[in-house]
Amino acid sequence: MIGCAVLFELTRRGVPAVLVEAAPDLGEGTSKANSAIIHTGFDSKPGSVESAMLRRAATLWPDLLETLAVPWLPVGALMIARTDEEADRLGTVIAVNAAQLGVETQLLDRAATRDLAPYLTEEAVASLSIPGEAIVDPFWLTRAFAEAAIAGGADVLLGAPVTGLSVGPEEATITFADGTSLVAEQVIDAAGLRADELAHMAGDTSFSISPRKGQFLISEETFGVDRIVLPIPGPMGKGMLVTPIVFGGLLLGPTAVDGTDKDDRSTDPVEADRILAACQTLVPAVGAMGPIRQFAGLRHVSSTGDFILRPSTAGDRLYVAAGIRSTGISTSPAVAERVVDDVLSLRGWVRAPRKALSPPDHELPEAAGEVVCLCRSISRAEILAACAHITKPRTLDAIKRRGGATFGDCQGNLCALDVARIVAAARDLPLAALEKHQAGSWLWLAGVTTPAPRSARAAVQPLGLASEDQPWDVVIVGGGEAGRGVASATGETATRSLVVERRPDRARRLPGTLEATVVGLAREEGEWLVLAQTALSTVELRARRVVIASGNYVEPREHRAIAGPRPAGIMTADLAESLLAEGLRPGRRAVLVGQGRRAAYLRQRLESAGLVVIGASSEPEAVRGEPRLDAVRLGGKWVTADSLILVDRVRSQTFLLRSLDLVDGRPGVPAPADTDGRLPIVGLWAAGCCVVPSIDHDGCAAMGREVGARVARSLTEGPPPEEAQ
Amino acid sequence: MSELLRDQVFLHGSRSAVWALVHDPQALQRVLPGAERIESTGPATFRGVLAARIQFLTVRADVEATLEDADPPRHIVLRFKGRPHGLAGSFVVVVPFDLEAVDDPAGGAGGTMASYVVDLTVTGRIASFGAPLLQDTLRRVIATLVANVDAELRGASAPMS
Repeated sequence: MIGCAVLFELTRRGVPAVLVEAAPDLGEGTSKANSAIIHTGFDSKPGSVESAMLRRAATLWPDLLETLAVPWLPVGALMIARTDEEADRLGTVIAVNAAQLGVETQLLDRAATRDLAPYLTEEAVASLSIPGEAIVDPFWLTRAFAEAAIAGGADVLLGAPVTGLSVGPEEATITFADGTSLVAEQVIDAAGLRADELAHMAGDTSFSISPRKGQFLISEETFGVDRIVLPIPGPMGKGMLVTPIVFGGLLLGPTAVDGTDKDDRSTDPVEADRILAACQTLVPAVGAMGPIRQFAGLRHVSSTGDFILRPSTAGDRLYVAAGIRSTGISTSPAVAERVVDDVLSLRGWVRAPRKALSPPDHELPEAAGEVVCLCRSISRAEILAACAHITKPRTLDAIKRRGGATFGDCQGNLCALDVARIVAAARDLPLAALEKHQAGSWLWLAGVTTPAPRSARAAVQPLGLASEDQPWDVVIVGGGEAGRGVASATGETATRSLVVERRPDRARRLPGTLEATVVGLAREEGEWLVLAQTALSTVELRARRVVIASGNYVEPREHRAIAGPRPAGIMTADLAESLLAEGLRPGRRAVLVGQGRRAAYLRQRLESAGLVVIGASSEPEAVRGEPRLDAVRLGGKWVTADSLILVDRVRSQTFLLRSLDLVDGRPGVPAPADTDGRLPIVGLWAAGCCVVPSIDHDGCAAMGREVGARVARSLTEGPPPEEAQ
Repeated sequence: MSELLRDQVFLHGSRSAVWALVHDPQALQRVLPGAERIESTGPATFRGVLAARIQFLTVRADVEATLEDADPPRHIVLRFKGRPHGLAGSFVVVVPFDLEAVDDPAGGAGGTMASYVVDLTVTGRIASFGAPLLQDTLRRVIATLVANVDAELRGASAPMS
């Protein structure tokens, strides 16, 4: 974040500059793992550099957020007092501090607090409203700084770790791991957690940086929380808070634990419980959340206790911008301004007026193409647009942060291979050369067999589909066992039914199936309007009945209480099976968690592909390894493995029902069908694993046939009440 | 369908002027933020292309608009049904308007108090942008639209986009 902000500011001032980044993408460090809040600095320590930067930044943000076109929301914050003593501190210390810093706040009593935020704990006796606090997408912001700078002529070198730095009287020289070097009139050390190590290379040992780990939880469900909710701060920071996420959902945390390992971004279930317990004291409803992800970030704590913004002791050709601890986002434009002002003075460079710089606009083509990411309905066009970013993303995580794919409930296990195919084609890389996030984070291995050639995806479109005057009697969403069961039963009564299936292999096995992803359902004038996205176009289908048979997905690691880091190599059976079908191998040595028919068949296929498979009947306690999985802890023992494949628990795939408010934002909530398969909206039914996630193929098929027969009968029994109106 | 906004605004024009404006495709193209093309397809139906800025992304959409439940010149419902380019999914915006002839609260000539509600339904990709961001976007669009309508009624030129 700071490096990109400085690059942006240098470029705006007309200074030719290059950003050197060790990771394959921007923002792979602390910038991607934080609370994503733009603070006003209302509770900062007056007189500190940090406080001054926060206040200056507050004046820069309004124009900057528009210029950089980043997703942000001015949601405001409420600091909660749960005791009379805390209420007293709010009024006599925190509000006074804010006033001295010129930050607008308002003290609210119990009633006003509850009126504003009824989701808060009943123990809230008072609160301090800070309307100027905002939330932002930190990935987007980091990137926007860099993209605007690139558009203005700056360069960015990604995947270029620095191994040496020498500072002389006239210039500074950076040496890279590959032996090449770069000479500059000025080097700025904005290396975050590694800022001290970079300075040490030049002989500056005047400061050190230590990591303070913060763990977070993400939920898709918001529980009505519409602003940042935070407790009275403690000595380790703001404490654990509850905040909305710009793109929806909630963020809870962070914890704050000082450590020494700058690579330790592991998470653990104990901390997850601690976050939930702490945040429930602010918003009780979050106790019911189903986190879709837990992650950890490392704040940079400097040995000076404050930001370090000054020339290096090794010489002023090196400038240090370090120790930007938990307010890196908030202060970034002010820090950049200060750094560039100082550097211009040091070098005697002309202070050019600021140029107006914006990142390139991200417009999409007219045709969306097929839906690639099912959880979030992300199309091929969006993935291609993400690939086309000016920073040329190459890793799966880089695409995730630009296009959103793999961010949803399944955490990429249903779509990672499809996303990777598009990226590999765009970058002209072999599929097996793609990485997850860091050098060495390989995703899969080339197979021992050559996959069958894939035919170009084309919509299988029944004749006359687009020009149907009559609605379909039944549209069945999903062509798995349950969907085929429904189709079979409704077909027996000559009902006009259509199956819509997104998987080409399934769609092509079932004649008359529309190969498409259903992305929307709406009730209009007594009929269902089904919006289906094919590879070629969006098709609007009208139907008297709709049966949801969207199946299940295997619960990903991110939903589970498995401690450890987030390396490549952890996947569900959904992804492993896709890889094998593509002729790829998930790894060399895999722990396979789960029992039953699917696990047994998968084990056989993995072994046939040359993998050593270690079976496990229960979930592992922990994993280790980074950037690729190294070992899995089972029953207290570490087992060496480069892959962990989960097939033991499944969840209902009901993303489609969220926009109808039939399920909430928690992952895998089953479709709320009654014993006949009816959903609580007229004309809508469900069958199979989306209702009971763990039933087997035979059970799905049987349920499909039963529901199909009832649906067919319902068509002959006359219109339901709404249709009769 | 969820209600995103409920508000009322004073417009410097008569109810009949407001009524005429919402039935005039050329005027609608001038006042609708991001309207790139609007053409009439019937007495109360239009189609066109709108471009909306969702902070970080300009979403261009094919839109069909209908005017419903007309009770001239007191009440009308604007319904926009859109298909965004490059994104899988759809949106429907429904805006019922009630128009009341009133005096100018600032003491000028009489005008119209327009009370409106904005309902939004989204499916597919747009739904995953999250309600807060969509709400923020729609608020901005409506604020610009209201300012443009008022400017049009006052006879001012160059509305905002």
